[in-house]
Amino acid sequence: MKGMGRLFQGAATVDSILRGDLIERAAEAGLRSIFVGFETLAPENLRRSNKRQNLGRDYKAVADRLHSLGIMINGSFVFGMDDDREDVFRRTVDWAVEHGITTATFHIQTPYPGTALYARMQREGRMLTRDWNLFDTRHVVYRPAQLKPEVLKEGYDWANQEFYRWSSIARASLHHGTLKHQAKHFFYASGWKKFEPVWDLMIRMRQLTHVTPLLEGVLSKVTSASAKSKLPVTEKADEILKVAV
Amino acid sequence: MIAPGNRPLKAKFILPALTEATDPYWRPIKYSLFPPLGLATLAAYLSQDDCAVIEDEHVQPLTFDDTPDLVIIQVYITNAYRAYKLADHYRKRGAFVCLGGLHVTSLPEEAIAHADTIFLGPGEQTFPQFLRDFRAGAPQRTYISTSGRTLERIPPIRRDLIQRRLYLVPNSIVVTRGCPQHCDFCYKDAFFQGGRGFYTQRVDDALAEINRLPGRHLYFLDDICWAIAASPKLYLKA
Repeated sequence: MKGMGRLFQGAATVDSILRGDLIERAAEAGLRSIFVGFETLAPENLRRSNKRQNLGRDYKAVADRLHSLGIMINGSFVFGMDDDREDVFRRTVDWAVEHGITTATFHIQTPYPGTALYARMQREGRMLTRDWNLFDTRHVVYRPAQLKPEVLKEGYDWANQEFYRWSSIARASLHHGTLKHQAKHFFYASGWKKFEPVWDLMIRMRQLTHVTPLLEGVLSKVTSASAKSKLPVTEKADEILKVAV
Repeated sequence: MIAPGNRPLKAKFILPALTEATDPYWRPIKYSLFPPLGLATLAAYLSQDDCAVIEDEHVQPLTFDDTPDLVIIQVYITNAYRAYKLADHYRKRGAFVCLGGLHVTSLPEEAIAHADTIFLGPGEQTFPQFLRDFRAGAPQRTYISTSGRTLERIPPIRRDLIQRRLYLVPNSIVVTRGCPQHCDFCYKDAFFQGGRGFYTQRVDDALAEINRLPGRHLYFLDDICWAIAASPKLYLKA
């Protein structure tokens, strides 16, 4: 794909990002933003959920490496794992903001039928409902180990609001070294969460395809690379940012 | 049933709305991101003379007064009740109804009450087998994907059935299946039970698929680093 002039987004795991130079190669080929399943900041939770590839990995190193390559991070975090206590919400949001995570997706742990987690919860008599409509990661459908279900729900709501407050978006943007990188973070995060009426209008008008060039602009390179790999769309992004500022 | 033989089929593929897409928290944009690639992948196994339509309830109202021969519904946990209702509706109208997906694979005995045929696991091998059986008038009740899973020689996704302008990221793409990991909260081990749990598309096929996509932007829905590790050439080939 290198040399095909594409810009792309994708997903990856913490350990695959730290492994060899895979992520550098992806960045060269045009990777501009990435979905990363951090899940939890507590090692005990990772051990129990068998997400071993995240164990002992330095999450800060992951964030730093992606930032240095100009790749934006959509971090995914889960609340309510067995080791989580009431401080998990603030600790997680603070970590995400301090490390310049661009957008974050928070979830309430949801044991799906068929998974080992569901089997364990059933064995331990901790499933609270079989109403599948509630299994959307926004409701508490099992009994958490150390949290009251309503505290888990409130903490989840709080985290969503807190991470996307204007002040949090600004603080996370400032994590980046260059003004251009800061601006990109700011517009991507606020565009995603703060411009709901605009999105709704575009959907009603069935005009979502017209947003794609804008998305390509915001996804353009922020790291100074060799002139060879400099993409024409970078100029377009500059124009968009100039107009926006 | 009467064997349809080589008579052209009218096939309808449905992705029912997830419940959370209709609650007060709903952010329409979040559900207008990616088109239903799985259904478009299955549609590719139909014959040229067959007539296929994909309806994604997240981006368009469903039509209910049509009379397809075959209805194929993708079932997730939070659209399961909706999927069963639609399945019942189309069975009453005389259609042959197939259910498949993560939730059907997890709870087949729940799904089969609403379907003529159910599919457990990925459909690249079982769905074409079903189509042959169906045309011969002898479809099975349940198709279970086991050994022999591969993405080699699968027909190109029917992207022509996707209404690109309804999605923010019509250029989403999947070049692998499954994952090398075994996290306890994930569906993957249950869904891929009985066969390979991680396999990839051939580099040439993936590049051909990428080349079919207009514009510059792409969104890989699979783990990009594992895909690179499995087929480094994909990313270096100019």
